[in-house]
Amino acid sequence: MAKREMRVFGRHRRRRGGERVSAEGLGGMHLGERVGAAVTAIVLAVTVPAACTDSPGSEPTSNPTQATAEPTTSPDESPTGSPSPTSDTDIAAAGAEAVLREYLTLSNDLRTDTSRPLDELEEVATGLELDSQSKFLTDWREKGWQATGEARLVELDLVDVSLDNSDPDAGKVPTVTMEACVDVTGSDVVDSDGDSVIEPSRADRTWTRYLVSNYRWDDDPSDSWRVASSETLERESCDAA
Amino acid sequence: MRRCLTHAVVVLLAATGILVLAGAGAHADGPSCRTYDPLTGACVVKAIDTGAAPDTVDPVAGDGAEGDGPKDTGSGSPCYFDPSDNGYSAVPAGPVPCTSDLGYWSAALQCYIKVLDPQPDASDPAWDGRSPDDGGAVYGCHQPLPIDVSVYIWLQNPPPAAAAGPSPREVAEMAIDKMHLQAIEIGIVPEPRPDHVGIVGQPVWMWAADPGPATVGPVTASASAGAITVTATAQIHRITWTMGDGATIECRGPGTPFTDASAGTPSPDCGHVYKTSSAGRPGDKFTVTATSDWAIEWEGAGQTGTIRMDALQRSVQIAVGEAQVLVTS
Repeated sequence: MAKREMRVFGRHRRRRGGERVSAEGLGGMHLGERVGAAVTAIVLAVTVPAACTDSPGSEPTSNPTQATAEPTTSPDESPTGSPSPTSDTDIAAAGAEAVLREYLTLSNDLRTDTSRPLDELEEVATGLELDSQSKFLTDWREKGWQATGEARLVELDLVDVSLDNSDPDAGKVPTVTMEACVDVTGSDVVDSDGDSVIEPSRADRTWTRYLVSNYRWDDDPSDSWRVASSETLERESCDAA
Repeated sequence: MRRCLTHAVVVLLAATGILVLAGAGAHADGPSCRTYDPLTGACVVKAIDTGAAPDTVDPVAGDGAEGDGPKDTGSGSPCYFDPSDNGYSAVPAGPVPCTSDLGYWSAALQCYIKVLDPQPDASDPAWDGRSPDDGGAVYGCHQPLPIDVSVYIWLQNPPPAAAAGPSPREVAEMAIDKMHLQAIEIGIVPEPRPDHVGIVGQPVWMWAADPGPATVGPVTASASAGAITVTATAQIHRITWTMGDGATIECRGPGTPFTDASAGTPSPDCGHVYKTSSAGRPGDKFTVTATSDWAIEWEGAGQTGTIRMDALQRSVQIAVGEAQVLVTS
């Protein structure tokens, strides 16, 4: 049975009964804690039309969900203090968040340690994301690029959970939409001559929307989530760390 | 229909069928890029935008002319890539392998095509607002550029493989058919008429009578098939004359028409001298055959080539007799 719930946590998040929760309520939490809080909120959440619209031709939505909570200090920090998932939606959100964190960590590792095999991506990515990143990083390595520093996860928003599993092969697959803001301040990428290859227009902080899907939902609803695609958002930069 | 993102715009140009990918751009360039690499700012996944196919194609250099005229250079590849469609003018157009790890080459889309497996979620921008219920699928569309480009597009049906289409040579042959090339009208002295007899030892002139584009060239025609358009230019390279006495004369060009003022002199570029009469031959005449050898240069699909064709010929019969000398007292 397909179902889709739209949830946001952050400035305009709502709780059962329509209670409005300000972002300030998340202040002081680490990102993992905030996501943990979000999972809790999911159980209580009501559907909020936020990042997506049902009308054709609508503009890309950018972020009614930005939170002002204190950012995490590490992208691989696991959620702490969050309750055990209690519903399919919770399971999906928790599984997607975990693999997205792994993916972001691996993305850094594959750029800083070019001896790491690219097929490690298969453990955390699939489909379009796996295809595009494999090609991009293959090209990266053929050019002899090397990263110093990393893309540091600053903020992570849960945007949408869809549990439509009616036809995974055709794209009707359980999918969690998340938006991540990363900070690349202080990082560099150089070619084999030591010259920086960074585009002049590179932003210090970038929001990216990720679709995280589980093509084996029936067999493994918790641990078979993979990052399936990504899109850079033109969204106001996340708050400074 | 659910639609979250509108950065990707897919337009298949109806006129050309060529999919034009938005040029490489940085953040400031707007929606030309779907996904940037945060560390470098480089584009990882491009969006798709409209554009126009170029009017001209930079050809790949072909073989030059040689002693016997330009060589026949084969069929060309039906799989070609013209990077100038995407603003990469420094990259020459030319043939590409018809298959690779990236998929199979689509001449219409100008990229390697491979269906995504698994298909992305229905909310992915690559669906371009469509639902999986609409049919079709999302494909990877990859171009062999110096800068890796990944594009993902929705297509109702898989595009045909370029390898299954006609080769540029086959399209060039279609253009040649349009030229209606003909064998030359034979000009020869002695004339092939009943009351005309040549004399052993006297110069024979041969030429193409009433030369025109269809008989000696140059003539140009174009043809299109699938996504390939080829322009061919035909020019006669030589005319091979078999004189009927065992001699074969090769003449470059159409030859020089005979005039009465030239009587008794040899042709400057295409002539013969019989050493025997035609007596005893069928009809007591020599059969003279002129075979046209055409060199047809073609250009298209980012490639060039040459087709040699020598199947057009025409024959006439001429009489050649011995001169009798009467000695009188």
